[in-house]
Amino acid sequence: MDKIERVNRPSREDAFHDKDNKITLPLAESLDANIKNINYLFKNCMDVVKREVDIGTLTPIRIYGVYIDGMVNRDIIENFFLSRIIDYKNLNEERIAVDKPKTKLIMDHFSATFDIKEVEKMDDMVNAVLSGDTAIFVDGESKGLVIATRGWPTRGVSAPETEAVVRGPRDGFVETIRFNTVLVRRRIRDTKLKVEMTTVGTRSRTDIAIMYMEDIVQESLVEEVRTRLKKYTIDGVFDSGYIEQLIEDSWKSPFPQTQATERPDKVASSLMEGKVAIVVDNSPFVIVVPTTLNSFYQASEDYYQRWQIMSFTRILRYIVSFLSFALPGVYLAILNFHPAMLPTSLAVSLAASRQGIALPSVLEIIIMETAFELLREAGIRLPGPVGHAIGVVGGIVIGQAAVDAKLISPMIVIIVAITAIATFAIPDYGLTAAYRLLRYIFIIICAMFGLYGFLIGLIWLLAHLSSLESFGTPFFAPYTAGDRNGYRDFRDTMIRFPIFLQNRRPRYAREHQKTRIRLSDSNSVTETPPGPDSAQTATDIKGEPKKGDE
Amino acid sequence: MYTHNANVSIRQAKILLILQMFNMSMLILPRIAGKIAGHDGYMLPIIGFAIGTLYIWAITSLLKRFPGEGLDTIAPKVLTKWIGLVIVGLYVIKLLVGAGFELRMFAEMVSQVLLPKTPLPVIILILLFAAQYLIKSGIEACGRMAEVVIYFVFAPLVLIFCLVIIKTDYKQLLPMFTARPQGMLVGAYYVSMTFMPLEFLLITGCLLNKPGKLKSVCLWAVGIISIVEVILIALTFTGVGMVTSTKQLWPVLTLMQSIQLPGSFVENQEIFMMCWWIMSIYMYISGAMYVASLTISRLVHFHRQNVTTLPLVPIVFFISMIPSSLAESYTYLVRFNGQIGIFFLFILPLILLILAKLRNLGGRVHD
Amino acid sequence: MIKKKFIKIMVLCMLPMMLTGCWDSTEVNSRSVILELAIDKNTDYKYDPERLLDGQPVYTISYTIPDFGKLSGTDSLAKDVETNLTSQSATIATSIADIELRSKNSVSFSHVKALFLGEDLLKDPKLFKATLDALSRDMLIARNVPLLAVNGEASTTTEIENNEQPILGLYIMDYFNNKERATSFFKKQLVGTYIKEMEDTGVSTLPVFHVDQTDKEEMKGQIDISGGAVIHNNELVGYLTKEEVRGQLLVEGKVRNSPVVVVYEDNLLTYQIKDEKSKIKFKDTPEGPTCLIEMDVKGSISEYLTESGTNLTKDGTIEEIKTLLAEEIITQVGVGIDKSKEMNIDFLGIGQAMYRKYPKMWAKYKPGWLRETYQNMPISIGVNVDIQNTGIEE
Repeated sequence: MDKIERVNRPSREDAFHDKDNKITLPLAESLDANIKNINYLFKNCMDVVKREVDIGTLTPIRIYGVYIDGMVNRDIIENFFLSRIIDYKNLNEERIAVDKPKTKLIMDHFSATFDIKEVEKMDDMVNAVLSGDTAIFVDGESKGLVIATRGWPTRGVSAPETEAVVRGPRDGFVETIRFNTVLVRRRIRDTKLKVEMTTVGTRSRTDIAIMYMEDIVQESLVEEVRTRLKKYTIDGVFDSGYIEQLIEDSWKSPFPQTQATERPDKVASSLMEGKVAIVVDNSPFVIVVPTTLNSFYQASEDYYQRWQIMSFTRILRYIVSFLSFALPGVYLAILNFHPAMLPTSLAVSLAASRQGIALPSVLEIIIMETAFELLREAGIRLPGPVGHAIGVVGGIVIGQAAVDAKLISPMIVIIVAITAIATFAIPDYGLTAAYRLLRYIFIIICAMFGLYGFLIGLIWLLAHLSSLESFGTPFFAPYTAGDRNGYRDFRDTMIRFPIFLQNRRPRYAREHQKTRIRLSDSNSVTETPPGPDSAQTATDIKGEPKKGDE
Repeated sequence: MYTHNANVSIRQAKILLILQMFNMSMLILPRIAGKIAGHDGYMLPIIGFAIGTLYIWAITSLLKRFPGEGLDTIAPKVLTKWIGLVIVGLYVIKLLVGAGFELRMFAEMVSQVLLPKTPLPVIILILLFAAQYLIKSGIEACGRMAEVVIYFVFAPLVLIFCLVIIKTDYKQLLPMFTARPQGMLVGAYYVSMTFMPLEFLLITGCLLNKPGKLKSVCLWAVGIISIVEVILIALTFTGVGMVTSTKQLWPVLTLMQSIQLPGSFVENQEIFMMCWWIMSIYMYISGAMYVASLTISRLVHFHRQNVTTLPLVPIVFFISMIPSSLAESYTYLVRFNGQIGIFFLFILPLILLILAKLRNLGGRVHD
Repeated sequence: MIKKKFIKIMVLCMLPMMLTGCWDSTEVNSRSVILELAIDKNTDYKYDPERLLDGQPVYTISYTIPDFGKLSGTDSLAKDVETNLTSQSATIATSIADIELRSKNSVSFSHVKALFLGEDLLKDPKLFKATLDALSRDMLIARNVPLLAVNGEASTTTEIENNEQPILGLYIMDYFNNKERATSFFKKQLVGTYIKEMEDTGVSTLPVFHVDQTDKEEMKGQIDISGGAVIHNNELVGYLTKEEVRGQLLVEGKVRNSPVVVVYEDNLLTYQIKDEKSKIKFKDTPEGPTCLIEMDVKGSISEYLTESGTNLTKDGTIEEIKTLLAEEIITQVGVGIDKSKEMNIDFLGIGQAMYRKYPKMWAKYKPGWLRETYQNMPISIGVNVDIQNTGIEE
């Protein structure tokens, strides 16, 4: 009896698998041995289709095809492979000479697709079957064939749900990694866009694509991404969220240090700035690294609309995000510790509205905030229109009822409502979660130490964010270390400068690859506004102004 | 890209110095200026700037002579090993004691304005823990935080200055040039004590990413602080009155209280104005603690330098609880800064420089 | 590991401090916000050896505690919109302790809008100085709170029923916040400015809140703030009428929106001063210093009855009117200067102006300033009138 070995790994070594769960069985020359192995490996897997076929009747070549039902596009196997074998049997048998290795023969004569390759290891054959391809074992050869026949049910490309725009493209990523890389490729038709494939997860074998622009990105960054992806051996990866948490710099921080986006245009523009995109199979969220606090406030729509209104919106976002974590705390601090700061009329009405209220202010705020969080969670779980209705109506009704029951004062309802709306105005969902958590911490600190506590909390927050880094980039860039790129990074922060003024790439790009826009008919990077050049007037050949040009 | 906590950029160093110099001495400055120089108190920072350049010259010349090194290696080299270590030990003690007294004054002010009934130890401890949290991440984090905090500190200050400068009654500053010259010099000496954070450079000067520019960084910072001091003293004299300033412990606080913002929505805005004060004091305290912890780690050759940050918290806490009242803490602070501050700012670097020249140690001084 | 243990122990030691509660937190509706304060000297006070020092009734202080519910119009169980409590105590601090015994909430001075000082208090310099010290030392009252002198007992202000606003403190707040009103008949004084002036020169003026005992029925419901009380070295030395205050304000250059009435061609003409500036110049002569007050007045004509033959737009007319106005303004200033010389107190700030501009001259004349120099100094006034607008009629 074998002693059961205690191994601290995601998968255990056994007779047929190594320590990384890769199959160690050899790809035998004998078809019967292969069939036996396949049957053993796929024992009790009723969704695997296996069939032995003979090619030809005179000197039959035995082949054994394996695929998973539902994962393949049966058209390719049946119409572009099997039918040719059957035609050969019935019609063309004499005409083809058998003088090459059998796998070559099959590839040349019987497959009407480009994507067929030879494979030498059993692990690759099985992996291909599990990924939706068809594996063909050939008798007498120690190589096998893999035909690309992937065709599982997938969601069509639709508008991204978390990042909607008024103006701009509306395609969003889906769960299939190949479609996602295609959506990005369509936007960058450059050979320098590299797509490196790797897999993570010993049991899930999830495909990961690392995309970057070879001549813009800094090589150390790509190297670091590769290293970090290999750092952990995990058994299964089901979403890019797993990858994000495994490769980030600081796990203790509530702030996200990578950006997850559903929009291909955002990924494409990030790649052009010198960032790296990590696409994970089965996840519609693509990770972009490195990221800074400022990039969370940049929505794609900012660049498609006019700069004045979008700058105003950006500034509003910053103000609103400050409100979303600070407002309840500051309100508590001023009301309970420093009512001297309020103008007399406001102090009078606030004090009047709190007459007869049962709960102390701290509890009021905490209860209302928790109630709103519960409503939000419930709204997500409930289906469709019911969910939205519960969110809005519930908030109003519960707030009003609580005020009438003299549990809370009306001002609290306003504060909590403003805070909730402020949270929704932040473009990135991950950052919103961080602020929601911070809000409670600030409420507690302000309830204990008033405005002094609020400032100390703010200092803690700033100290934390100052020490945070994302793949070597400080989190506060370009507000800190902005002089590294000649202060040009400031052109895309609170105020979005017009496009022709953002003529250099930000700090992520390589040193001598910084220019991104210049005038077409000049050799220097000049910053002239678009539109007709008013300094010149149209002249005819003799140098006199043209008549009739109104 | 990957420069983990190795150095600070020039801009960060400038801003860090400016914020550190903006400490409690600023609040009591109009009082000292008024007492010593009367109506001409606002001219003292200009002379103080001149004295400050002397300090800068002494410190930067010493650091230029020994590039890449700090006081913890220079002193044992120039003086003998044991005397050098004693000097460095005194330096660390001086930093911590200065930070402790400063913290005590600050806590008294917070207690007066913001939290009357909260016990002082709680106020002090919260700030100390926040400071420890920053400095354990190294000087790069300090520099980045300074760059962000400067907006919080100076934007409201500049706004208030602009609003107030228009409405003040400048006749309060007259008559001019009535003070005696030796009074002006003594006053300027006390004013130049606000430049105390320059002594941090004895240890952190080598962490600048372009060490040659240290002098210009210092001059910039000292210049800006001098201008701010002139404006502050002038505004205090006009807003609160010169005679009243000399009688108040914190005339700037009284000024903040008596400012009447036009169309003001907020009353009692000195509470709101404490915001930037807290941030600035925080940068000074964390700077002092960082330099102290860095010196100790370097002396003892610790591999991870942030191990020494946490033990400093109780030390500074106990130092700050030594004075038993506000008046005592004020006396301690002014006397300590006035009498001992000059030693590490000017006297010690000068002695080391002269001895190094005599013993021909260190690289050539490039002029 | 040792570091982790150390941290855990430190945190455990810190916890009890946190658990004892927030020391400064008070719900806003459990604070009594005092809106006005009336401080009097207790004239019936004699030292009572039977009582302790802190039980001696030196002061009589009246507090007005408003009820916020009634004030903002919501339902409330309180009987009146304000409750008046009077306490007799030895110091301000003991009176606060006394009041807190008698009221359900804790008392807060952060929103005090007016400070009323009784006449007897103002006449006692030591007590007055002690009062101000008590208020400003602990930052109890903000330095931008208006001070008002009452020509009687300050506690009678609490009995005044005002038709516009029942709470006097709020009335005063709105009164002083009104920037449209003319600045001519009283000079607003804040605690901070008062302390500054007293320490700089020793002389200051406070606006007077009139509580007229004689015409109580007629004056009921109306509030009169005008004139000034002159304080010299923390002692009340005299009252100013509103015309004398106007003279003072003209010399200081602070008059705004004030009307000046002259007779031109047998009709009354009203000129509204919009803005004025004044400069005080000195000259040293062997007989003593001479003073020249130069004033620049800008304004417009607001009322005049034009008869046939008179046209305001004619050049000569304007010049004549300007001369008349200048003479009238000089008369108005003269009223203030005469009073100042009569009282022998330099509340116009002339000595201070000499100190600012000519410190050496001031050093020469300072010792005998009030004894003889000020009395004998000839003060001449030069007024330059600028009529910007004569209205839309000619």
